[in-house]
Amino acid sequence: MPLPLIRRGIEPPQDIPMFLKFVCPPTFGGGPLDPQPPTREVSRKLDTMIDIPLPPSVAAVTRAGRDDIRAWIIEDPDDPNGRTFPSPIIRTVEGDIVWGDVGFAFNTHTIHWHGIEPTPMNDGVGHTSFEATANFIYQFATNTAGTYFYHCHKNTVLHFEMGLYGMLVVDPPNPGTRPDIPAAPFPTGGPGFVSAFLPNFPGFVPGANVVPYDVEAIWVPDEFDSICHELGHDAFMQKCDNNNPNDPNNFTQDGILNDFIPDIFFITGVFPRVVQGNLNNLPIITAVIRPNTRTDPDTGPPATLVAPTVRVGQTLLVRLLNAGYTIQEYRIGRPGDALDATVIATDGRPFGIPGTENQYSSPFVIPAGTRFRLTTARRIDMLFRPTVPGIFPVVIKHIDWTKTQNAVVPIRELVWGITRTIITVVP
Amino acid sequence: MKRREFIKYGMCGLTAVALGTIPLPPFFSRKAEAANLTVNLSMEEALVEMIDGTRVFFWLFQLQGSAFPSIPGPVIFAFTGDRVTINVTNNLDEVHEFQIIAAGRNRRNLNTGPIQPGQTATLSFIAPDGGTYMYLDPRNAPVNRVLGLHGAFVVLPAAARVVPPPLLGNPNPQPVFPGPILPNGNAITPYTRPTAQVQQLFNDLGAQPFFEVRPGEPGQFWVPVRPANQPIPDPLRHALEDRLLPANELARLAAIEPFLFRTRIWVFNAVDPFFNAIAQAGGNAEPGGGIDPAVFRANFLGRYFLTNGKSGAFSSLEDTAPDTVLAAFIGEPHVVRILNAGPPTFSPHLHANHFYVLAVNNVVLESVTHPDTMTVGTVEKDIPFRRLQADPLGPTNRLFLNGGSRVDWLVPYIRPPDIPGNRNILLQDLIPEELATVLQVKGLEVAQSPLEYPMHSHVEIDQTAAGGNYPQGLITHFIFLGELINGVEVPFPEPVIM
Ligand SMILES: [Cu+2]
Ligand SMILES: [Cu+2]
Repeated sequence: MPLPLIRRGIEPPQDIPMFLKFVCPPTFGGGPLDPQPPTREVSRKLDTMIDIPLPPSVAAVTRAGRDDIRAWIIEDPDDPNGRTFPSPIIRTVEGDIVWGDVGFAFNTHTIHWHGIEPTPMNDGVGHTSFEATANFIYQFATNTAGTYFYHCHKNTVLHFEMGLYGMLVVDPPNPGTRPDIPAAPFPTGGPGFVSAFLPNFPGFVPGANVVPYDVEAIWVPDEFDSICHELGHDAFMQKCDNNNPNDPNNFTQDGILNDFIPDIFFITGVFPRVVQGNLNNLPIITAVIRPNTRTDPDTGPPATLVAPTVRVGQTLLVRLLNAGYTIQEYRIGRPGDALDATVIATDGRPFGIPGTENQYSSPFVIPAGTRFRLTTARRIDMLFRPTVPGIFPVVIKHIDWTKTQNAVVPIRELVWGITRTIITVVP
Repeated sequence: MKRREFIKYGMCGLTAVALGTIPLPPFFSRKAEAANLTVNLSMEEALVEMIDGTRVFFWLFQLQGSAFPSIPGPVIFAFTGDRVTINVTNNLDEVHEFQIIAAGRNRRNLNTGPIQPGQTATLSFIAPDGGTYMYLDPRNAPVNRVLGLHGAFVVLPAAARVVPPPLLGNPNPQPVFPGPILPNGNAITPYTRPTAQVQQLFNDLGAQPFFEVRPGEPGQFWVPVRPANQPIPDPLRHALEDRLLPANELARLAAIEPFLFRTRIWVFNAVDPFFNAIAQAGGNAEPGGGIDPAVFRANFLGRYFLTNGKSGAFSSLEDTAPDTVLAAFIGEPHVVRILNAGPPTFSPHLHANHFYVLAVNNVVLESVTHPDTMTVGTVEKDIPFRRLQADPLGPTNRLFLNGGSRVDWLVPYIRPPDIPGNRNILLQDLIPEELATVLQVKGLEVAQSPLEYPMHSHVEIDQTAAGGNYPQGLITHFIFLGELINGVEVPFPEPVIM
């Protein structure tokens, strides 16, 4: 007797245009639609290719075996230094209406402003709106201060991996309680104010529900699969046959994008050298990123953004984003260290602000040395108030999202790499 | 052609196929008291068509009386306190088991123990506290579960007990529904024992200005089942009225529909057909059966990523996945119950609204965070409850950070908050140009109305099929059909497409 067959769906689908849109997104340019007067304008251009030089110890353990790695970036065309990886940070102020004028070097792309919630045509997802061929002006408000990011949402599995992303920080207005802090948006690296409901925290401003910070660090741990970086723009993209959009031929681009084997590990575009590990001896462990770790001056941010230095009595704000395709496990400080993290927000939503849609949560403390995890695209904001000088280790494990170590030890998770940085506290 | 009329289009091809929809809940409580409920399931073999047409062998649960096995297994609904009897017949060639995770006293698993081929085992229990439970074959974990033997067991709190609205062809029963607000003044939540924060959130939905559709137009409270005076939502109504589905599928939809009102159940899974092929050739995960669970865990390479048994376009469009897609009006909050049967850890991301994380593994959270992306882990990595209590982070914070294999969301269905412009203005009047936009897709025209967004896992590897074909993986859609105006659902205007 033949086995029962469960079909993948109605054949043919009822809504042919919608089905076709999903398989072959339309293209469009121009904008903004339904314009509102902007209070802030930014420009970006996709996708610029850069080659990031790799330390020889990194090149030695990559499967592709190159001494540099091809990345695709979202460039700031107005800034002569705007060709960096990650792409240049965008900072806006709570309440801004933003026009993002996005150009395209070639082919079609989109920008999705992750965590920002505008209309579909400003949301940057091709198959629910369109892919942009020419310039398009995205229009969105940034109504809640917090940590966001922006990235291309076309063939995202490849385009996000290739580096088409940057941070998007929405700052609260400056309440004017600290003369040394400039008007928002605040300088990257600090000082500034951040939304947090911490009534007992030094400098807390009631009503505005913000606290001041002196130093800002941005941790975006990520990893590359060097083989993926050899691929072309539309690698293994679905075909689109307009005569029969659900023809199985539309979905048979046999590819390798499900087989992610990271071999380059870094934090916020800082590529540390490898101190241990090769393809047969996992995991790959990188050197500790220090404030003076050398970065490529043309393509990378300074290491001080990753390895901050803060004085006793000052406040450090860390914005953490998992931009990799691994489960990341973090350990900040050692058990017993005077370096507890107070988590104040996630995904651009501060915890526990009374009288708002964010009133159902509370800030919480991660004791120093306590391991915790985030998966791809999640963000948390943490505050530190160090009380003693010292150098505090930060260790990040990049763990496979599915596989375990090997058949002999099936319980143990497969750790592909370990990246490390430090927080330096000076008197 | 107007979009709403699509369902009239192309009615051929609907032969007797099972569609992978969430099938019939096997019973209802028809009285206000606890009921005796019996479910008869069997374990069967079937081929399931993946998005690229590849036919993959699975072991699946089948509801007695249903024409086809289902992927995932049928959703079983109960109310807290119901006396539930589940009979499971093993029609496969090797030993299997049946388990419901943490549905027993003190969160213990309920388990039949081994069921020999051809044998039937019975699980009898009192339905536990309201929440989202997973049933599965725990044997040789995770192999038997991932090869298809899993499903959702949803328990609603006794306070929500109803007689369901009229079923198809059953015109006159008087439905009884207590309404969204209980006699004690609290709103119904999915839980028997909500935390203060979860209770407050559900109380605030229809009351607080930040959940308003626009100033002066309150949002609605959550209701777990369709009240008697509410119409059947699109597109289920089309499917029912137009008889577009095979009769057994129609019956399933009709029966489950009251429970899917303002609720979605998303069962995630991943498929590495290499192992399914071994099972198809007669192998299994018993010793010497050809699939070593340790090898499976070390080498599993997901090739297809499923939400309720489907991928990509087939799990994202209203007509192909009516029980998966979120499609409603601004002001109509929904609960989403996510269960992960697969080996990967997913990171589902919702566009257009941040959601609230209500519970992880049925631990109702004391700090209800409001993220746009949340970890959904695996059964293997679920942290035992007793260990959570001793965790330095506390259960709430640990579960928020790490996730679990079952995560409940509340999607508030507010107007996407970063659309610039005056919030007093109807959205349809604020963005007329976008709502009137029609774009060409390969010679066909597609309207931008209604407003459509994705929910997808952000690991992105899981957005592939057969190693490519973005975005044909773990994805569904989140659709705003219109907005409430004076409490009435008013669809967004649609451009006329020639
Ligand atoms: Cu994103
Ligand atoms: Cu997305």
